[in-house]
Parts: sequence; C-alpha cells; structure tokens
Amino acid sequence: MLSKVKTCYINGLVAADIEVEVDISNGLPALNIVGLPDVAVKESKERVRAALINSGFSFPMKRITINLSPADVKKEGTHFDLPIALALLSADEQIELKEEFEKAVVLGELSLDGKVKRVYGVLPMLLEAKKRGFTKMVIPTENIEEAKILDGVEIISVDSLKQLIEGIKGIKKMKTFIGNGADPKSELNQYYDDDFCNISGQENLKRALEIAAAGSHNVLMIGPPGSGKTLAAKSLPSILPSLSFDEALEITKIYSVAGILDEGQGLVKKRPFRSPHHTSSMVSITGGGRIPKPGEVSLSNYGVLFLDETPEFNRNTLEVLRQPLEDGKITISRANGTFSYPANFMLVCSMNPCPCGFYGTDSGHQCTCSPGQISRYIGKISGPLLDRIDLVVETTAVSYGDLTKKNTENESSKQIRERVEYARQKQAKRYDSSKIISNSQLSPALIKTYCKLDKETNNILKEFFHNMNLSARALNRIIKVSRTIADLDQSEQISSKHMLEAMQYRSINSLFWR
Amino acid sequence: MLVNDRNILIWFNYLGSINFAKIQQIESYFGSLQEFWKANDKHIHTVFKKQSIIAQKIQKNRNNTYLNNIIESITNKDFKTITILDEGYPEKLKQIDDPPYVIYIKGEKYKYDKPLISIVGSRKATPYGNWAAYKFAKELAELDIIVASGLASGIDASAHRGCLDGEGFTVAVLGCGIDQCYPASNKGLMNRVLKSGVVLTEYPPGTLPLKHHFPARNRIISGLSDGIVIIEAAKKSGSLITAEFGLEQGKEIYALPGNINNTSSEGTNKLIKDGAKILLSAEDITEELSIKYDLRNNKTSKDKVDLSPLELNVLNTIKSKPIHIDMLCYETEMNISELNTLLTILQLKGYISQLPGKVFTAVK
Repeated sequence: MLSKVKTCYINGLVAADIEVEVDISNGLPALNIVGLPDVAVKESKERVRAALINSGFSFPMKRITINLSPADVKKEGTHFDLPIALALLSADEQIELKEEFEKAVVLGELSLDGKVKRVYGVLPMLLEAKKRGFTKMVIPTENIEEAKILDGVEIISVDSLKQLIEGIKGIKKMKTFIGNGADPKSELNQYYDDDFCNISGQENLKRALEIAAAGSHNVLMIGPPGSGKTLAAKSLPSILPSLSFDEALEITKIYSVAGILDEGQGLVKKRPFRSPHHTSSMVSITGGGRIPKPGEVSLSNYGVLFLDETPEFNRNTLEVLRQPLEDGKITISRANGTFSYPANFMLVCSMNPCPCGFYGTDSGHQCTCSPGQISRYIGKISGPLLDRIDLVVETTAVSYGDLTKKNTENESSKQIRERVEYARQKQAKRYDSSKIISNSQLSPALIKTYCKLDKETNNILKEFFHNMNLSARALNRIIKVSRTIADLDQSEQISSKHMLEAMQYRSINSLFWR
Repeated sequence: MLVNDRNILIWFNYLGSINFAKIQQIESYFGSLQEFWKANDKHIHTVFKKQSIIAQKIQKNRNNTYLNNIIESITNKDFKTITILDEGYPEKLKQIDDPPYVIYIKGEKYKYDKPLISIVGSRKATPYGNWAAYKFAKELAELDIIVASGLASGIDASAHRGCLDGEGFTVAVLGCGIDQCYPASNKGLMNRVLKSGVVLTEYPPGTLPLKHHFPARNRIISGLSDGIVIIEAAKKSGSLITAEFGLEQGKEIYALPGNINNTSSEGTNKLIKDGAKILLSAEDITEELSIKYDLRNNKTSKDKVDLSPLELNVLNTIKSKPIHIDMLCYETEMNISELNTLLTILQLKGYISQLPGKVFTAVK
C-alpha cells in the first residue's frame, strides 16, 4: 500500500515542502530510500527501524520503497526520520492518517528508543510551510520555542513516536497549541552585562560609538593596549536599537539553520554580537563547508561583527569582508549549489597603532618598533577595506587620576539607546521610499537627494577637502556621518556644526595612512 | 673634446669608492688627469699600491667608449651634472673635507648665496619631533632661509613639508641616484620639493640607496649649511653623524631639548650637554645668522584674531600643554560633540594640530 506524509527540506535559508512517499509491496525484504538523500537521510532507515520496534510497533518484512519528492533536489538533515516513520506505519496499515494530515508538515529526528529529538532549521521551514498553506505542524518538543513565533497555525509538539501515534489513534490527547507570534520588544529593558555606564572617561570613544550605532556605520578604533577598545565594543550592543519583528525573524532563521539557538530559545531578541578570534579562517567568516553553513558575517546579521586586533587577522580573511560590506549579503558557491545568506552587519575593528602597541602614546611606554614594522602593520588594513569604514576613532589609556578626578555620572546605555532609537526612526521614515534603512547605506546618488548642504557647510567641506587631501569617497563618508549626527541632534538640515564634528572622526587618517 | 678633466671626474664618480683626496693625489702624480688617462697601467698600480681591486677596475674601464657612454647617458636629462671644476658648484662644499667632486641636481634655481639651515633627525619621529621640525622649518622659510634635509621619512619629511608650507626653498640631499626615491612613500613629497627647491646627490643615476651612502650623504647636508638643527636623535643616530661633520666643518649646531626619559631625545640632550646650542625658538638660529646675512621677513604675517570666545577658551586650554580630547572635555566642561566642532574649526584655521592618540597641541 502507498502512503504519503508532508515534510520540508532546507537549502541555505531557502525551504520548500517535500512529500515522503512510502510504498510497501511483496518481494524480498528490503528498504530503499530514493530521491537524492544525503548520508544523514540514508541512515535514517536504521533509526526508523529501531525506533519502530522499540516503540512497540512491528517493522514490515516486505519490500519497502521510500521516495522523497520532488526527487531532483538534494536532501540533507535528520528531520526526515519522523515523517518516514509515520508514512511507513500508515502504509503498513498499523495506523490510519486522517485527512487533516494532508495539511500537516512533520519534522523530527528519531532516536533508537523512539524519542523525538531536536532538529535544526525549524523556523525557516515552518515559515515556508505556513506560506504554502499548511495549517498543522508536527515538531519535536525541544523546538517548541522556535515554532511559537509562528502566528495562527496549529502546532503539535511531540516527545516520542509512541506519543504521536497514540495521539493519532485518539488514545491520548495531543499536545497542541496555536502559535501567537512574538514581540521582539517585549524584552526591551533586558539586562546587558556590559553597559556604557561602566566606561569611565572615553567621552570621545563613547560619542563615536553612539554615532555609529545611530547610523549603523562601520567603526575602526585605534589605541594602545588597555585603552578600553574591547570593553567599548562589547558594550555596543546595549545601545543598538531594538529589533523589528522581521529583523528578529531573519536572525532567528539564520541561528536556527546554524544550529546555535539555545534550547528553549525562541525568537532572538538581542542584536547579535560576534567576535571571532583572529585565527579564524576565511570560511568561518564567510560561511561554507560541503553543505554551506552561515559564517560569522551572516551570524552577525543586523548586529555587530567585532574584529579585535584586526591586523592580526589573515589578510585574505579581511579582504573577503569587502563584498558583504557592500552588498549586505554573501553568496557562496559550492559543488552542492549556490547559497545566499544575509550579511547586513556593522563592522567594528580595533587595533594597536603599531606591533608593540605604544606608538604615539604618552604613557611612559616607549615604542620599540621600526618605521618599516609600523607601516607594514598598519598596511594590513587595506585601502579598499578602510574605504568602507565611516568612523575612525583613537583611544588613549585612561590614567588613574583621570578616572577619579571627574565626578560626573556616566551616561547609561539606556539613555544613549533612546537617542539612537530616535535617530533610527528618523532614518526609517526618510528612507521609506528607497531600499535602504540607515545612513551608512547611502549611495552617492542618494546622498545628493537626502543630504543637502547649505552654502556655509559646503564651504567648510571644501576647505577641509583641500586641507586634508581627501578622496571623493572620504568626502561622502563625512557627509554620511554628519547626516547621522544631524539625526541625533533631531535636525532635518545638516548644518555646519554637524559637519565639523563629523570631520573629527576622519582627520586621523593623515597621521596613520600617509 | 671628450677626454677633459670634467668628464674624467664624472668617470671617477661612476667608478665609485674614490674620494677627492685620492684624485688630487693622482693629479699630482701624473701632472694632470688627462695624463693619467693616457698613462701606462703599471703606473696606476703604483698609485693604488694597496688597492688592487680599484686598480683593476680602473684598468678595465679606462677607455673612451665607456667614458663616452657615461657622458651620453647624462646629457640632455632632466637633471644637471656639476663637477667641482664647474661654475655652478656651491662654494660652501668646496670648503669641506672630502667634497663631492660631482653632484647631480634637479629642480628650481638654487641660489647659493642665501642662508641655509639643515634640519635633521630620526626617521622614527615622535609627534613632538615632527611638530618641531615642521614648525621651525616653516618659520625659517618665512624668513627666506633655505631649509635642507635628507628626504627620509620622519623628521626629514616634516622639515621639508614645513619649509614648503612656509613657501620657502628647500634642498633635499639623497643617499641614492637622482632618479630614485627612497623611501618610495616620499615620492609625492619629492615632487613637491622639485617645484620649490632642489634634489641633489653625489651618486650617479641608478645608484641604489645602500646603507653606507647615508652617513656620507650627511657630510653634504652639513657642508651646504650655515647651521645644523638636530630635532631628535637616539643614542646611535645618523643625525649625530651629521652633527659631527658639522663640528668638523665649523658649523653651528642647534639641538632641540627633549624629555629626558624619551629615548628619541637622548642624542639631542647629550649634544646640548656637550655644548651644542639649545634650540628654544627660531630666533636662536636667526640671531646668529643675522650677523652674516640680511634677514628680512618678506611675508606678511596674518596675525589677526578671528576666534569666538568659546574657540578661544578651547585654544587657551590647549596652549598650556598638549592635551587629550577627553581631558579637554572635562577641563572646558563642554559636551563632546560641541568640542569636536570647535576643534575642527581651530584645526582648519591652523591654530592647533592633532597628534596620534587624539591629542591636540597648539601650533601658533
């Protein structure tokens, strides 16, 4: 007899529904899976056999053919176990699947004792299934938080195969509930370990990061060891604006595929902060592998990618950042196909001014590097990469005297975030009709439309341009940053004071990159 | 006539490793250089008794074809070749020990009768050194004093820049051929120098910047000058060689005092201890020079106050000492965004300059 159960497959972030067809006929006992199954899917038959027997069902000693349709796309993952087991039991007439199951997708990995285990990529698969008109989702209990994000579908959570079958037979009630969506803002006042109120002094650095957060600008911090670069970067997520539902959904999808959602975690509500070590390989940054998984650039989507000690990174690793920084996504081509992951991140780099770390500082340490060493070190950050960084900020170690001398209260992240949120809202409103969402994405054409300068500001810019020997690109960056500063200042027009402040975050170039 | 004294000097220069004293010795032995050109190989071995390698080199290359090639390769080029026998040779160089008997020179017209100060120092300069080199060079340039240096990175580059920004004339003495640029990153600066100064060297075109060229180059920097300013020098610095040459040649030595803890000022502080003149302002130099030269500031200084009270407040705080932006923030009790705006204005107006580490220092 023939039986069919629906499930999903996932390829990168793209999901689609799959039909599991099981046919049992007379002949020599055999079990074949067809339809381009990957190794994990092929092994599924052993798990299914053991799970059926250990759950108290019989395994038909007949010729069994399992087809995963459409048969021309490769399937990978372990979530095919449960639908296969279900279709098999139904084909063997041990259970009867009611009509309502035609509109259901089934996902789940089986362990040999019949328990249903957690699988990866549930959220994108269910979202796609919902889009395609499925109303019932059967998923492992361990994935329940992810599934709750869906709105208006019936979700059946399953602990074991036995429990599911009893539910289908009507012996016991199934654990069902209706997804209610999730509000990413519900935890707005969440606690961050690193708060800006913990950073003493460093007014300039804090201001630069505020501007960066408000306009989603890329930042480079240069300073000697112990000047607070890493602490400031770690505190950055606490001033980033809260996520919109769509953003949160996209992040959760990526996390789900990458398999790094914590158990019991539903929608990701915090902006990601990724800080790969400088020994990271190119592939770990971009994503890849035989079956490509998202890399750091995608895991930090809508969040921060922090490269501590940037010049220590492999040069190739740094250069691969250029394309995602420009396009906001990364496309990886492998033998198995081409995968595209979003990579809309804010790049934060930190570095020392020289290999020993003390060049140009006045802290009592003497720099012991030769001029050649310094220029080689600085040269690790290539011009094209530097061109994509809007703000450059120098840090200096705070002396004990400075720490204790001033008695003003440090601003907390919450206060800063309020200003940032406001600026972001302003940008969202302004760019409603265009494709971009933040000032950092302004193209030269859009700068002309959205960043009109008055005569005085234009004159200042002209003077600065000649004084500092700037490139046209650098000029655009200054305009972009001043747009953000104006937004923070709640001003529609970029005035000269905004422009003059923006220039402070650029002028350092002449000192380091002669 | 191809085989004349001048061309033979150029030939010697191309051969390398023969100084002017040796040439004079040859001249006195043979009677004249042209006699030497025709002389028997055996005599040459007598003169170069202990230098058989050089003797062999001379033997091999002493022919008209080689000489012809050399002369052809340097005629009608963008640089001029001047020998010690020529009219346009700088008088000051004739007075030093071991003068360069051939120099290659490129750029604008170089007036030898004008006062010239050499500014030298370490390649790995501190912000303080760069600032001082730039400032003094600019101030001297404004008094129409020529500033000479070695076109290396660090202090040399800052001195050239300062002089050029002060619209003065600058002389760059290279340690390589006139067609080379070392370090390559100074290519842009070299082009600027050529527009308002000269680049000169004693090394024939194509010579690479070898290590031993630089100490030798320093004797020319010192020889051309009326005084030598040493901005920054570590204990064993090439700039101290320049100072030594200067002393031998009887030039005035000025040293910029520095922090005694700072290794990059060790050399200069020691010079002061040993009797060099301490350099506190440009007047220290001009005082001495005005005895010999007529110094007049022909550029009108643009000293008018065009600052708002707020800007003036920030400027005054910076004037007391170089200060980091965060400290400035506390001392002026201004908010950081406001302060950044004022700092850019002061920078654009040329009152302050920014050092690495976001430290600001007053320039005027």
